[in-house]
Amino acid sequence: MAKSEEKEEKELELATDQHVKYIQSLDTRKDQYDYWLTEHLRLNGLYWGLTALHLLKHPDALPRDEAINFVLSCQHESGGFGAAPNHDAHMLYTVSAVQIFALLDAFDELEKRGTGKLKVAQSGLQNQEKGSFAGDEWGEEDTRFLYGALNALSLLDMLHLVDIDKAVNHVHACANFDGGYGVNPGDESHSGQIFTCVAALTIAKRQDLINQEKLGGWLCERQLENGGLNGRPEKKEDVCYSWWVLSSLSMIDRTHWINRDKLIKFILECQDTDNGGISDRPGNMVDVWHTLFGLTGLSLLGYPGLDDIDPVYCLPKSTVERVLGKSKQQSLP
Amino acid sequence: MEHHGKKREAPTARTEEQRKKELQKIKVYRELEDELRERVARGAFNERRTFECTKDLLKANPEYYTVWNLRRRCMMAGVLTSTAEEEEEEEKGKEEAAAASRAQIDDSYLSEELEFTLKLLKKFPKCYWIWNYRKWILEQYILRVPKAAACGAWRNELAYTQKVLYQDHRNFHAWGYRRYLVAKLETPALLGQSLVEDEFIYTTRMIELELSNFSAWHYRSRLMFRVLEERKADDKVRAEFFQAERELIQDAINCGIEDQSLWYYYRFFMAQALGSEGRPTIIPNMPAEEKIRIIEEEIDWVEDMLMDGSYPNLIYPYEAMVEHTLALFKLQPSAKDVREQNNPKYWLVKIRENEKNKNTKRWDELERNIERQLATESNE
Repeated sequence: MAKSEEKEEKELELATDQHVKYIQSLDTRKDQYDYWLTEHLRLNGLYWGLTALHLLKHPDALPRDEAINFVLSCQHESGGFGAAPNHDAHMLYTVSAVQIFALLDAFDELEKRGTGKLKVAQSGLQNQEKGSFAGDEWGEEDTRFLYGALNALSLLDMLHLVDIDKAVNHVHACANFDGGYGVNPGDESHSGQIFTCVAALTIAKRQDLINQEKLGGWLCERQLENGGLNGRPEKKEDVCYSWWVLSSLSMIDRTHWINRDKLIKFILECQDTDNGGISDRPGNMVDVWHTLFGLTGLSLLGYPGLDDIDPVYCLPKSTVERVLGKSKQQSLP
Repeated sequence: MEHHGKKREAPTARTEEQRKKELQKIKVYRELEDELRERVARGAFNERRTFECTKDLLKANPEYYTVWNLRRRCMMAGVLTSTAEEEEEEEKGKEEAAAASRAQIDDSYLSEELEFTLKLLKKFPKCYWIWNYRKWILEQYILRVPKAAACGAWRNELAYTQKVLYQDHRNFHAWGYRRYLVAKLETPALLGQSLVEDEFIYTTRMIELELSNFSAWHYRSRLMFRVLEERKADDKVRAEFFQAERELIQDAINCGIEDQSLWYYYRFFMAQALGSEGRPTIIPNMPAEEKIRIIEEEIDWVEDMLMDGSYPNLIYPYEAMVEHTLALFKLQPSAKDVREQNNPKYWLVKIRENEKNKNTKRWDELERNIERQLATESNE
């Protein structure tokens, strides 16, 4: 076999060990300016890294106690979480915190050493009139926050605290002619936003409101000739859409509408097989965000050697079953 | 942590000098952070230096959302002077001159903030937090300066989005921001009048600039029905509107047959006009014969276009043809037997031939779906 072919063969396997090492190395880069500039993503980063490690079947590669201590150090009296200690509370981080507690089976620590579940749940900010959710006290609204709220509240078994019907109406108002959804009513469809809206409707058990034929068609037409997926028409491919698009297709039971082999090849090509991590496109810089969403994509495609990801919660299926099983598969009217 | 589009570099060891430089940079940044935290801890929001600290930090790191929040707190605690309600009370107390001058001071501080965020957005046009802060500043105009001045500031922002969208036709932050501006400008707090016609014209201009601008076509899809409603359009006006829009999208496709955005809009528009996805909304009272005539014209138009060239990877026109022929069949079941091109399955074969990712299962499902529809109608 020629040398170049050999390399190609090697690249087209999942570089599990390298990815694990890469994720373990992330918190050791304190002598790099970038480490400090990204502190506003620290809690999300921990969630991305931990979830990736669970999918890679190395759940203990980061110390559990340290992770829990860090998450608790980000909590505010209000119950909400910030990105890191001294950072303001925001829905984006509160969701990550709840997801980490779920992943590590650590809700008891939240009760003992944090504010407890109820206060976390009460920190959600629903607009009583519209049903939408704000990210924080400054009031920005986005379907990302509505999804985050429903995700966290259902993991906390506290969905009854909010007006689900109004939230559903708000999501439905964001639907567009192409079957997709935007940031707010009137905004253009975007794969990331579609994931949040479809997942919110799935949690609320209102998938009947989704134009599944239309949306499925639009989503699978995100696949480009090189196998990668884009987020909107006429845009470039990016590994992260392997998650936003595929998870949405999975929730409406249409992952078989895309070319599986081509997408697997595209994601594997985005790996840094020497130093671990996955990038947006082949040959680019890796980061933990694209690493997670490359892996979740592969998991949804049934790639061997990975744990199954839940398309609604972006947590391992086993985690979601354990947590929602405990709350007796919350029933909504 | 999110690296979009940056080339991967081989990990070369930093020289000692580079390392020292980076550590120095970190030191300066963290000292600034510490200083700000110390000031926040003792509640020094009304001190000028606190306000300046936030600016320096945000220039280094505009993603630092907590610092944007602190900057808002500084604005409220000392930089900005009055609110509209306070002003009113003062006016009663015959201090009109003082109130007016305070509003003027606020106006100038707020415009400084717009200037500051403008510079940052040039470098970071996709940073959510900067856009959010800019919205907050605009809201302050409504609370703190006379209505005419507030309207002026908000109107200027519309021009600003035009600039941003001229640079990047698809920036969805800027499109969303524009819709936010319009919605607010239309309320009594500002202009109190509809801007829908202006916005519709704006989408036309953006489409003329670049045909494949899906963001503009999308916006158009949302404005169209309001335009018709506000024009109080009767059937005749609606028919004219339909014809003009039909020509616009057909001309666009003639120039860019391989463009996905155009076909999405085309299929949406035709479905709305013909009611093939429920009640027709562009011309609600269109008679069946008229619909049949239009569909036949559309089928001819697409066929002619396909005959003019070879498009081995294209599926969009064929998807449209499946929809047209299904719509025709529903209005006139016998049509599908007149010639094979009137049968949706004829076009499905073309889709299967041309579709590059070979999503066979999707087309199998479509085939079953078509067969179901053909069977249901025949039984009726």
